[in-house]
Amino acid sequence: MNCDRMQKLILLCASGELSPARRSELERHLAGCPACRQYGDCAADVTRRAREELASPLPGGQVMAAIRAEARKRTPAGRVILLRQPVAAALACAACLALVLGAWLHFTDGGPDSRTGGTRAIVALVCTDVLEQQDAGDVEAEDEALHALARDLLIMEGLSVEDAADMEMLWDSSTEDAEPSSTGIRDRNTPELPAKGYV
Amino acid sequence: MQGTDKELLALYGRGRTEALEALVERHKSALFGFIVNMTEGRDDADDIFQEVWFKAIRKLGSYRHRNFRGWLVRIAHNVIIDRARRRKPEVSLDFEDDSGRPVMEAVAGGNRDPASGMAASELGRRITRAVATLPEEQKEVFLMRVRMELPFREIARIQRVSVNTALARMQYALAKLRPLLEDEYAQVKG
Repeated sequence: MNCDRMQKLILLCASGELSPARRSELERHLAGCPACRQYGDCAADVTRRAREELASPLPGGQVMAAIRAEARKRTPAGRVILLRQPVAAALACAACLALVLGAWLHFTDGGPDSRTGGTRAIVALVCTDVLEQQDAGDVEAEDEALHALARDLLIMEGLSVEDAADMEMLWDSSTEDAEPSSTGIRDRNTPELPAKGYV
Repeated sequence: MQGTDKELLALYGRGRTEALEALVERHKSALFGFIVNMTEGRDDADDIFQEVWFKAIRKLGSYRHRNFRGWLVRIAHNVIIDRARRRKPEVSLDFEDDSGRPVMEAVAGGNRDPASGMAASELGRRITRAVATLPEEQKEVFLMRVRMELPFREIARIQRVSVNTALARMQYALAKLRPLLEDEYAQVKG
């Protein structure tokens, strides 16, 4: 019998992480192993004693007041906007550039060229990806997909991959230190975007 | 205010700041106790506790964790390590000092033990001192399990080790504490 493994199962059983099958296996072992039974009793005793006897100090009143103030300052609405700021800036830059370049193409070539259809296809594809990430609740992947959308739009409109990457670095560096104002009012440079249903 | 952590988080998400205050109240004793034991009562336990909550509040928008308490401990674990690194920026925490003691131990706790002075009973003070003698990673597993009541799966995730390793660390911690506590029990009873 592997008592070391069984003692690990004893700890898992105490933390409620043992499957019924493993639990049965452990019970069968304990029935015939006094050493493991004693180990289980001792482990439970040390844990219980420590829980009962370890001090329960509390943080100072000033700390609690500071946390309460922070909770009030960081209103959920402000926080959502903060999370979206890099993405919002990225999309705003990409959208403006796309508009300017689109207008220029329209007036110089006499109408939209074949790239417009390609742009639409990329937008559709990336938006689908973003929506999938959003459904999966993966905020980081969702933001990454939005960045990819902005980058692809810039590249489609003629920027080199390097220039698009530089633009992305600028968006990140210009927004990484952004903090919501204490009044919860959005930064004036942040484009007006709905906090929910952004994509 | 009543409700599960998840319900309170949802209320805070709708602008009810008192829901977050209720969460802080709910977890403050266990979390602060964990921080005090991990830092061995260092003077900046208050600052660490505040930093953990500030970070949590700022990151709540991206919170996708199942276990809110585990998420708080994960933040606390990172804050304690970051502070240790800032105190000794020129050395890696993986290294040991001249006496073979991990640098993490030296910078995080030192030999001071004011945490034991906070315990109400003599046995509590002795247990605190016994816990303080454990190597950092074993002490952390023990405290995450005993103080924070986290499952081993969560503890393993926070320490970035396998569940088996987390269990082994708990076994070592219990093995070291058991004779110490038996001796303590004898002294207290005697």
